[in-house]
Amino acid sequence: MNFILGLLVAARSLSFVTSLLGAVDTMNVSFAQPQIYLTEQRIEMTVTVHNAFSADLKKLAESGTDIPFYIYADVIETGKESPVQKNILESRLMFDLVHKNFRVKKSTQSDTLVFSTLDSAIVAATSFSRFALIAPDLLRDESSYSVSLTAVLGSTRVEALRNSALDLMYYWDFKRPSARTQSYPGTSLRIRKRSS
Amino acid sequence: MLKNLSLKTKTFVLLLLIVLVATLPLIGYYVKTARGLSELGQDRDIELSLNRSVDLAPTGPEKDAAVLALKKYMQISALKASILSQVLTFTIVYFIVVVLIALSLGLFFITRITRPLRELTEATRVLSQDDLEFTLRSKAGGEIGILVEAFNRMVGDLKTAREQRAMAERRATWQQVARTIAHEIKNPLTPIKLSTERMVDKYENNAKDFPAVMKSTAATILSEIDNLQKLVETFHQYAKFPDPVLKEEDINAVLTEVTDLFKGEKAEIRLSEAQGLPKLQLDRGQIRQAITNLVKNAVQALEGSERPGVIQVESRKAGDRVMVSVADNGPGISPENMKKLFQPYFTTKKHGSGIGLALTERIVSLHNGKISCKSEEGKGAEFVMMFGNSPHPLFDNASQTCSPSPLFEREGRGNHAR
Repeated sequence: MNFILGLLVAARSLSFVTSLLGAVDTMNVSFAQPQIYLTEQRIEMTVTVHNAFSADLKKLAESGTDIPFYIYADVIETGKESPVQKNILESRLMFDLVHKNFRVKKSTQSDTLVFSTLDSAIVAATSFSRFALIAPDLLRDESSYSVSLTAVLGSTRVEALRNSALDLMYYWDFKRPSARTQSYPGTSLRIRKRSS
Repeated sequence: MLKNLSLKTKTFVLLLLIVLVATLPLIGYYVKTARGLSELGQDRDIELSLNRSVDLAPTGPEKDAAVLALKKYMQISALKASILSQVLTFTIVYFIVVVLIALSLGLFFITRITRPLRELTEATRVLSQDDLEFTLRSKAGGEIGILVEAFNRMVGDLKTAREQRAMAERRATWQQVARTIAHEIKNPLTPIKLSTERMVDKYENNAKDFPAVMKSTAATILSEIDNLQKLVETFHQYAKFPDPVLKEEDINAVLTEVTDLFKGEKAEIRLSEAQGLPKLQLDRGQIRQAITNLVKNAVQALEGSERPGVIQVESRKAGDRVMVSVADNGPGISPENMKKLFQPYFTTKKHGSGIGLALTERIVSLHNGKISCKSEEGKGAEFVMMFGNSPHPLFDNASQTCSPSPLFEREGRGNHAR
């Protein structure tokens, strides 16, 4: 009995130590307060993720490695499991070793953004301004809706490694930051449309 | 300090040392590897050179190759920290896992190995307290199993021997009791028989003095019946002796009371009382009876003595206890009688019941005290009682160890019979 207890304690200690060590150089990745904009044609949203790039990830980005970044923004009707609308926002940050500048390619914009500093490129890559969240027609007056946000780092190719695929979630300790807005009644999301 | 550690602790410490010795070189190796890794991607000249190659290379496959080389070099530099972190994590986790598993296994086996020894130690301690009502139920094999089996056999033998000894002692005691009672009953029967025969003879011969003889015979018979009744009362008193009712008493007052009773005796009684003695928890009546028995015994021992008899009664402080002694300059006690001195119904007197000293020993024992006796040829005997303020003796370990026999065997000298 003591032996089994000892093993359990050992396993717990091990898991604790591992979690401490794994947390080295990881940051508290989090969402800023999302903003919702109502227009006649669509409902828009602005989301920003803070502290997405740790020092190690920045260094990897400076090596010219492609850093894919995703935000899942799902509109969920209260009381239902499956979302009414799914949105996947993608951005890719990459250092151009030839021109010595940072490039950000976003799914919400057709142009590639070019930056001279990494920090400004990170800000651009980790925020999506006024993207189309959902069409008001899809919402019902009698229901309430909230928006679920999840940020994810994708896998990238690291040529220096023999197995070149590297899951960048490693830099977030394999934890996906998430947030959820408050629940809005369907009528409140359609006010502007009615008033016009 | 190491001497006082248990076998389990010592073995555990040894195991810990072995694990550390086995693991530390491995950790050293990993640390060395980590240091080597930390050098990767740190050379600024290589980075500048690769950058220059990218700048100077013509557009096309050559430029792509230069870019790839620079990218790989910088990726190594970037991933180095993660690799080092992983190496460090692995090293520490490996170390902890190995140490914990080794120590857990070690502790498990050490506990299993030392448990029979610990039980054996505990059993020996219990045995030393004279408790033979147990057996070790260890399932250990090998040498320890043999040891446990031998120990159990020894306990069994001791128990059997003790039972046999106790039975023999009981048999001897009862034989002695039977002899004493038979003797005490036989004594009055002889005069009764003789007187009755004489009376019958007078009656058959129509003797003139028959009425006088009958009267005298009846007196003799009644007297002997009285003696028999007293004898029965004495035995009954010993058998039904009550527990003491303890109160705070001055032992000197009891000694004065007792010695005053014997002032008219032929022997000289000297009383020496120590001053400032603490009050004792005593049953005054029982203690008075115990001391009276000792003084009475001394008076009887001095009867027929050629020299002037002296009985010394004394109280004295002995540490935190109080000592009371009754000594006489009579003939003393023989060594063989010493052994049976406090045995009930043992007596060397013609008309003794053998209850007096047994009762005295019992009273002292009930008071959590201890009684001992020493005797030297031609110089008399001395009985020493020790008292102290302790809880009721029936619930005190001291009462169980208060056994006069070994002390007498050790201290008894001379061959005077009393």
